[in-house]
Amino acid sequence: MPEGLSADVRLERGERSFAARLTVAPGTIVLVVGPSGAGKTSVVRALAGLVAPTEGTIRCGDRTWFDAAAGRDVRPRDRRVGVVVQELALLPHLSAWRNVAFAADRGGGALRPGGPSAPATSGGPSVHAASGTPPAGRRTRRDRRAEAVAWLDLLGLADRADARPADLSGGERQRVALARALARPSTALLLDEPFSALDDAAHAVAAELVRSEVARRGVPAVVVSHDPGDAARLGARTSAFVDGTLQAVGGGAAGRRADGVAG
Amino acid sequence: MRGRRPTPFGVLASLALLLVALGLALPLVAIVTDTAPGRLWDSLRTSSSLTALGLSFAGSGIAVVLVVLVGTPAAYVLATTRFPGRTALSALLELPLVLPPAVAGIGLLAAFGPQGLVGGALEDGGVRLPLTFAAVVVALVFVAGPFHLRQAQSAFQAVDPAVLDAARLSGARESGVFLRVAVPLAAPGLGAGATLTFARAIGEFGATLMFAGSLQGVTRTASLEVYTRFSTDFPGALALSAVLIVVSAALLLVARVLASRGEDGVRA
Repeated sequence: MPEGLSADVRLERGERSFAARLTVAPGTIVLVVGPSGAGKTSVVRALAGLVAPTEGTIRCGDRTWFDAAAGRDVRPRDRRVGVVVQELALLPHLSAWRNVAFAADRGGGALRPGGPSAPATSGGPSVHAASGTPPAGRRTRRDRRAEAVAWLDLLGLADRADARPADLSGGERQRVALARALARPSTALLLDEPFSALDDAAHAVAAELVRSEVARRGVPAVVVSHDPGDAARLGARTSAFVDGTLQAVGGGAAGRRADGVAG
Repeated sequence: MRGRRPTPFGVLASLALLLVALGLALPLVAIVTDTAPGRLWDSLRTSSSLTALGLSFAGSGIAVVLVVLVGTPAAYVLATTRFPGRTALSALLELPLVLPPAVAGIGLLAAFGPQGLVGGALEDGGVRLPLTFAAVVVALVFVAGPFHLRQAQSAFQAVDPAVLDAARLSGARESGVFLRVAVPLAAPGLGAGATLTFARAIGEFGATLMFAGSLQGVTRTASLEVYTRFSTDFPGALALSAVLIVVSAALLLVARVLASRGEDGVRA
């Protein structure tokens, strides 16, 4: 079993430089909070491999994703993370379900919602076997669509499966992005403001889905939010910026594991 | 605006537009009106006209295919990566757009001619370019290719980099990011670029004449045929010119529509 996600890095953001220290155990969620402009998004982008820290290391499970001293920087694709970026960045030429299927097809086999748990190994081919799904090439369009729609359905979006991103509302787009991040096996989940455009009901549903998926798969997850209530919704520990350094803070739901509560 | 008097500037600017339209349109209108429909058909039926048009379309078509296949990934690299000398390289690749065609022709001869930079080596390998149909294609690629490169580069630059990153994060290989995401999103711009390249290739004259010559049935394209005829058969030259005008106008219209569709698409 992987030892989770750990990062100890220094990041540059514009003129400013700041440090981030994170440790996320498998099957748990760390909620990153802080004022806007503090660098929450930069932390997620560094964990995903979209920007390189100036110093430090990032490890996930038994793999080193980034090591400034050793000159190691694993490409985003090879980190196999499920990511929601703040700008969502849905593929504008594809319908909602095809956006979800795009990720599922390239994840070494789609994960069925609620199916057997299958945390991705380091690129191992055993993933399809674990999730009981044949490789993307052999799945028919009907299967791929059904799987993608099942994810959208969990977020209340099944009836919008054929709409293009331009025809979706902000909240709908955000849920498609979340479905895309969840729809394939991943070594970690990195979600940057995944609930900010959702109304209260949709927010509760989406948070519960994230919480149960993290517990089911046993992967570490980092969620950025400006809503402190998300710590309780997700059963997450909280990290915040103290003296310009992102670090774990006590109190609240600290240390509570997300599993066992999932249903 | 209704009920308001036009401003002096508005009147002047409109007059300028009228002047531009008249100045540009007059020679074109003259060609079409001077060509009687019956005469047009008669002179077009001559085999040398049809052969020349065929050479123009075949050469331009092959040139566009080559330019699209090689130029599209090249433009993608230029648009999406930062490397030293990128701006200088972009400018260099656009140089054929502004060079006098005669300079382009001299350049091609200096490179691929019998005594040229690589021409000698080609000849040793049994390949002799000048005065062949292949030379026509090379000249068209050189002169018209930059239209596609330029259009494709701006089409790729208009694709949101966050979308390309999202595709990578979804597990796409770099080839998949290019073929499944960047190319579909840039498609209208790429189509406009290919169309402009084809239109420019149809109209190419100087570089083709100098590098490929004007051999009837081999390298004499439609624009070269117009030049050959104008002293001996002016009506024939007019007729062929009229055809070139209609073809070019249609191509430019297509390019415009595709380019505007690209702008709409990227915003969505």
